[in-house]
Amino acid sequence: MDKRRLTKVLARADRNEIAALSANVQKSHRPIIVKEPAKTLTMIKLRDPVKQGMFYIGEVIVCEAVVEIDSVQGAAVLMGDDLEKVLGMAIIDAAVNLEVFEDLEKLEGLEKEQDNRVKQEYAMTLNTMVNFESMDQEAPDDLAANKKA
Amino acid sequence: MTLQLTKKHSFDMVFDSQKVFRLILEVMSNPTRIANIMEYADRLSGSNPLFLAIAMTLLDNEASVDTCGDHVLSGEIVSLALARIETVDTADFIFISDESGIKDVIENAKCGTLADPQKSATVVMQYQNDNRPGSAITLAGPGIDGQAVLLAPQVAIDAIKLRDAQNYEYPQGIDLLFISGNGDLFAIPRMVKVVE
Amino acid sequence: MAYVAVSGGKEAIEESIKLLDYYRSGTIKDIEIEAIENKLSLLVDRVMSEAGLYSKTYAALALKQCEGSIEEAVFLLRAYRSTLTRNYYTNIVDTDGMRVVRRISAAFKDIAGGQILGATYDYTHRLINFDIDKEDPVELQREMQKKLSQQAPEEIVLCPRVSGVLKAEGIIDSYEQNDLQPFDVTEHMLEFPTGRSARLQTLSRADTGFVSGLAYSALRGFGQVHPTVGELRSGYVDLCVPYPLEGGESIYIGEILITEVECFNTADDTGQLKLAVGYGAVFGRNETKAIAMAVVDHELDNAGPYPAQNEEFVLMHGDSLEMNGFISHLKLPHYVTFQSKLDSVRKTRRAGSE
Repeated sequence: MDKRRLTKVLARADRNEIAALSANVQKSHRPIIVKEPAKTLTMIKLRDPVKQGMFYIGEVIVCEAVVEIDSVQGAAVLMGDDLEKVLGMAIIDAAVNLEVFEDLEKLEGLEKEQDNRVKQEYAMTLNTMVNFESMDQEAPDDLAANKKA
Repeated sequence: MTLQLTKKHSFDMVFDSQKVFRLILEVMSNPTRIANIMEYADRLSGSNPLFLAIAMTLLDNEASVDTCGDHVLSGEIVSLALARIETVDTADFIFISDESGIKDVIENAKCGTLADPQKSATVVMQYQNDNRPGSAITLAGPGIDGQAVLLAPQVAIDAIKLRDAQNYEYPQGIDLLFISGNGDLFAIPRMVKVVE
Repeated sequence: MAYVAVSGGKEAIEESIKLLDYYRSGTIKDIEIEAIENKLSLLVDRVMSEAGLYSKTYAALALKQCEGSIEEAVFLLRAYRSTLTRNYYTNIVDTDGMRVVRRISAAFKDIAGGQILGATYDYTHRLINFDIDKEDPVELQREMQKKLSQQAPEEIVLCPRVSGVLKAEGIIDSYEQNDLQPFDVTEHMLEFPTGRSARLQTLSRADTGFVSGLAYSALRGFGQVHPTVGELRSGYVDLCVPYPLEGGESIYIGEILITEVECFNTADDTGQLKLAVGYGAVFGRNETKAIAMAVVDHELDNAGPYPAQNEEFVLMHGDSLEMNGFISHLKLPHYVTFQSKLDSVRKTRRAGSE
């Protein structure tokens, strides 16, 4: 699992899930804190699709932490201010970097659940898609053509 | 959870860096005065706690740094301060402890432009308190009332003279910060020059 | 303009601040932050957009603290934000990858990806629901979660831009990608003429009323715009930053909801016409503001005598903090200045009566 995928499933996970995974790492390893969890800002760069330049749409509050397990570091940055969660994420990241993280399957399971929830919400949104053809009884029901990109 | 885990550094990112900042400010505004930052460096662990204390005070993600080949130090600085690693000719801050590299640093460090003299490098040079004979030089410039004598190891004196020899056009230049192995800090900003 | 240093009044000021608690104490009912975040999300979205700070919880907190004043909440968020470091910049966010919750076009009926109405008040009948105070929040959530869990999941489909087809035809100009460092109005004073990044950042965080009023003025003839909403899309975009340790990878930090509008306007081309596009993008579901921003963006591309076409007029007067701050500074003592004004008035009246 690359960093992008790993951090996405961790970020979307519930804080209790992170606490459990982090506690599991700490059963056999002692992480030390290199950079205490703290709040900071992240500036968001957006591509302007009209003239193709970029601009700063605004900042977002995030928190960050860096830990070390057996001289290998792990780091996490997370939207929001959940300092305990970001610390747990950093510990998991260090375990992954040290190659001692045992719960990869659990993460894959969480990822599936998270994706499923997002897709369910998206499906609810799709219920609001306008089907212009359906008023005309003679024309075929062309919802699929509308949906296809 | 934070309470149960030990911290690698007991250096407080707010209060200790404020104290180190005040000391750096003091030595920069009073060239030849010496301050000591060992107390704060002791709260950091790593390959070079003295450099790290200065880095934690002066650097952030908007600054660039060159550690002259010390990859362990640059790794530590990146993970703590998020500064960018750059080369000697573009870095905002240069940390050097290997005496043989000082000539290269002073000759290549960026000195700013006439419009933006602040876009120049600050060179932080570490020297060891060994038993080699030092020397004395007389300096004059902003922050010195008339003239002052500096007693320092030859390697530092040579660096100052080499910097003067670059003959930067005012207000361009580079600023020098010296730190000894036991934490003694003094600064020779760009307008403070050796009196012949 | 002179300011007088006023001493005394310290006790009055302390009491004034305490009296604010009295104004918030009219009921034993509390407004919880979670309730403001979830049930007043459009208000929270407006505050986040005008503060230039995406944090629903803190926006809700600020609103609770100052009795729902948008002006005060924006001030609190901007003040808080100025105490924090800014350690990260995101990778470039491209809204091509947006997971839409709403996406419509007024220009075309049939668009690739479809017209997705999403959740909107546009089609409600605007009849006050007097029963809403009897709503059971527990039941509401239970019912909605049940509905969600019964929904068959659908694969996310990215919607291609409506303007893409017109760009391929050459009717809308295409530009090369430009990765020039954007101007940051939070770090540098605006100088005129400004660049596009400064303009877009300023408009995005401007007061909603100001931008909307300017857009309305342009639509009513104080401008040269007869725009069509080519596309409005509201949805989630992923935020990624470079991994802080060595390795060169990117990490995901979360997602934000933004609303983006492309407005089409007929424009002159050499010997023919083309379509020019105005662009709006804001935090949250601030649709009117996004459309207004797109209208004003296009107005500013054209020189002309109207306020909406005047770059300095538009960009200097829309910031909530600066605007409200300057207007409310008029409450500060101006005793000496006023005294001298009064003296000049009286002088003319004495002279007149002689």
